[in-house]
Amino acid sequence: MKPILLNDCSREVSLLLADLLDEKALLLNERFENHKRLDDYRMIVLETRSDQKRVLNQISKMRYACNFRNIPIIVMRGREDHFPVQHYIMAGATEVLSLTDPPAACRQILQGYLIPDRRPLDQEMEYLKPFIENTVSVIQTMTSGTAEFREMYFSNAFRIFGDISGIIGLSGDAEGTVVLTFYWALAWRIISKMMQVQEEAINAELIHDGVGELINMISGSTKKNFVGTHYHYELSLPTVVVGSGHQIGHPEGASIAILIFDMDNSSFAVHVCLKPMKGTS
Amino acid sequence: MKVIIADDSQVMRTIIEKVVRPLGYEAMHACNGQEVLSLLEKGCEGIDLILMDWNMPVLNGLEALNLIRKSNQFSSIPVLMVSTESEDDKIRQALDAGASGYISKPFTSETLAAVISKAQEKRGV
Amino acid sequence: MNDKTDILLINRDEELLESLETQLRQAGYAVHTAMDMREALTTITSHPLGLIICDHALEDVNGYDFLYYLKSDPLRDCIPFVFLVPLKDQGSAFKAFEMGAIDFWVYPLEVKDFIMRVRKIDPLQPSKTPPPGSPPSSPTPPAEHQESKERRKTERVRIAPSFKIEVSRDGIVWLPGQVMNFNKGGVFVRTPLLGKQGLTLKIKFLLPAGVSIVSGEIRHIVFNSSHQQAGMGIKMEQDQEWNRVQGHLESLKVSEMPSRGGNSGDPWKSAAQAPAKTIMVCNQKEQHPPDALLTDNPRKSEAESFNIRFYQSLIGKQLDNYKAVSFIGAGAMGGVFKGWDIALEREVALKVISYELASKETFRDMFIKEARTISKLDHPNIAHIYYIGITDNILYFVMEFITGQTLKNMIDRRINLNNLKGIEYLITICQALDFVSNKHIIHRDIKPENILIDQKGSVKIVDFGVAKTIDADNPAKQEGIVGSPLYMSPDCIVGRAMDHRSDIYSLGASFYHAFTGTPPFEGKDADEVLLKHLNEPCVPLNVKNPKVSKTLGEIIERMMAKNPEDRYQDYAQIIKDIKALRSKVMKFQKLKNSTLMPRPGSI
Repeated sequence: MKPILLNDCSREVSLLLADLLDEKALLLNERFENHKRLDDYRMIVLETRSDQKRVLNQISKMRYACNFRNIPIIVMRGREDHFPVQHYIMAGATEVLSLTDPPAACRQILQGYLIPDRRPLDQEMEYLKPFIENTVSVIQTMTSGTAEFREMYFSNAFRIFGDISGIIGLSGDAEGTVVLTFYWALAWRIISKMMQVQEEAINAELIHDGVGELINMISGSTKKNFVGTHYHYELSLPTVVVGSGHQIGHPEGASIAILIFDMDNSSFAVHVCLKPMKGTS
Repeated sequence: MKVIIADDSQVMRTIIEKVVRPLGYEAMHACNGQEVLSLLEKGCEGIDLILMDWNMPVLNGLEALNLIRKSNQFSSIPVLMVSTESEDDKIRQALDAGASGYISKPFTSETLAAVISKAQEKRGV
Repeated sequence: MNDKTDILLINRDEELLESLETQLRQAGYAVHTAMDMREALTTITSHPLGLIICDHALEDVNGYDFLYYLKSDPLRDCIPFVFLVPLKDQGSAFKAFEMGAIDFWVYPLEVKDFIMRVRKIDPLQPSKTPPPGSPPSSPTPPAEHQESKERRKTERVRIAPSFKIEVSRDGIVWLPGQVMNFNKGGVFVRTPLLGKQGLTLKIKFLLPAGVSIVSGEIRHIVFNSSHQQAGMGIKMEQDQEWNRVQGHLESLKVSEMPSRGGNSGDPWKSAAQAPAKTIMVCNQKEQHPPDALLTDNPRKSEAESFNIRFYQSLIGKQLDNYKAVSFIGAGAMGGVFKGWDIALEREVALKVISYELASKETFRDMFIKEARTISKLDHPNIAHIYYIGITDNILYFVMEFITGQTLKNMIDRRINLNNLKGIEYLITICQALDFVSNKHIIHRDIKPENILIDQKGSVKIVDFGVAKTIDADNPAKQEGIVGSPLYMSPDCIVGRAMDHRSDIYSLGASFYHAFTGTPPFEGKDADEVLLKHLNEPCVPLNVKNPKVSKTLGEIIERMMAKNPEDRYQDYAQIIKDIKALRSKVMKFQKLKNSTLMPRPGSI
């Protein structure tokens, strides 16, 4: 079983967690180092001390090190920490708990996050598969590079943690949003490959432009697969967003699938939220 | 030979230009349909081909195509639609409006080159 | 600490150099200029520099080499270094940041924008040092106090940072934004969304009177670095909607700075208050109060917040054979998910019991003990319970998934229920509850949210999560209060032994709400409502809504008698009385149709 990383936690927090979680959970008290990949942890817990700025910085580095994987980052607030919760969440934390919170609530919330992710349903695969195939094919056609589909999960991801995202709103028989999210370095490489120019020749504007074009192509070519089904949609104009922690609106009550692809030792993600409108089937 | 590449994406225009240049074309860029029309009207003589994106701000590719086909001067210039819209319906809509060919994005440079030479052959006939 | 405020400008373009120099001098800075690296180095050794603003190409070397040189010099590597490059050949911002430049600007830049950015990095020494408790810096806010200081000299306006807008290209995806500046023609906003010049955007302004959506065209885009939010100047469509918005923006501007030109301590004060305001809004959002009644009580609202966070943790998970597909909503007892049964391959509703209830030993015992009995309730108007389970301390039950709307939805949408259809619903529910009470079970949480009308129009009672079997010979006192305050019976509130008559009260209260449009008792918090249930007579239905017939009002009022002995003693009686009323109404309607049909020519 994958271990839970207790990042530099005090004795008090470590004991509390050992007490809250069932004895099968494997707790590792370690210190997160930059450039360490966190893909293989089940959960990350870090404790806040007086230096919030450093903590925020560390949270966002950890969120990046998770490479879009669904790894909950739990912040345990020290007793003196009255820093607004929102800042931790915006930096990439999944949940913020405190030593003074009721233990029963903490236990339930932690256990909730430790329950394994569900696998997609057949009817969900029906619309996710075309997105997976077309993402791989668009990247292959445009860059001659290979993007490999790795894994997927469903989440409540209202927020997107990456450096740059292309977003397309879908409307028509089905409604929803598709989001393509990169870290800078990979976006940089992909756009320069697309344009067949040196990486130095790429600037921020071209990256924005190119990412918008990529999401446009992915959702445009996938749309063809849905002709005649209740998943068919029309595209709106792509929106490009920079920075991390942005909130994206999704239709209410729809599930959001996050598809993760690996390319050149890095990862990128495609969020798909597609909900057939009522009355069509 | 001269070609107008109309696409609101600079990245896309660059990619397309890289394909058409070896075919012997000199490329002019336009960011929307309006710019295509003004390039034509400015008397950029001897335009041999227009590669037109569909979804563009201000004046979209299909609207621009309609205007070109209605004009006296430019109606004979081959216009290839280049678009992410890839359903048969959409392709038919573009062809009905007078497009000389249709390329859906993403495309390989080989495909694009092939469609361009086919359009030129047709024109030659 | 910081006595270095001089600025060094390096650029090959002499004209630009002169104009920037003038702008900075007018803003109060000591400025040095250089056109090549040699010149620049001389200045650096002889002046206390607070900022270097440099082009990407100089007469002798390129700007990156110059930056590299500076960064390898331990005495000079701490001077803030900013690139200022022309739009047409932007160079590589990414490389610049990697090498240690702190910002990357693209010109043409408006004068005030330019000065504002300089101020952010190199504030002129304020006469007073800032108070120690100034807000913590994060990517965007730190500029705020500088801006407010500076607006004394210029015409720059500032909008309260708590005033939020949303920006969209397509009306489908909306992203947050903030108005930085505005005038009659348009707004300057900061937002993560990026568009191209010439594109039309929609901006949603959240005004006190409601939401206003105004279109506008992107006129210019400013992005300091690839990582930061872009600033966009947007020319707004000059319509009435925009006039309304502009009026509101004006009012914000005034209220934000009541003492324009007042004492110099003010800007700090407003800067310190701003984040506090925002936080309040954030906290409220975080908690998603499902029931406004409960949030007034801080302890209860805190528990609600934990519950919501608990349900959030289950999205995308699988409990035994049941997948939590999407979150539907939270109620007092638990959170409801649309679920999927992987064994039987069908849609189900998954209700996860709140951590609070689940952690009470007494509740856990009861929950499991009652489960079997309740799952045997087989009636067309009762949503089936398929399964009850416990996984990792998480208590949940699985029931029939019904698409449709709740009575609560219908009340909220002001659908008139004071008609034959409403009466039919009431009869059907009475029949179903009669069946339930014959099995010695009480529901204990009858309320409009738990009455569903499916797509075919048939009624279903849902959520037997807190239901209880009763032993008529040996009535047990109940532990704690269960139910929803708006519809809770007095017997339940005082903790008396309960029987089906408690459900009758709650059903009466629910239909009181359905027929009149308001719940029988309202109050500022749950306690006040509960007290009213105990002591206050309810306003007769046809006083609240004169359209409700007197007979129907009396039936409901009798269902809601304070003392269980004064209520209907069983459902059969209620059904009988309502059916009598129904036939009277139907007869009357027939009569009306046959004799009172408006004839042509009549009024």
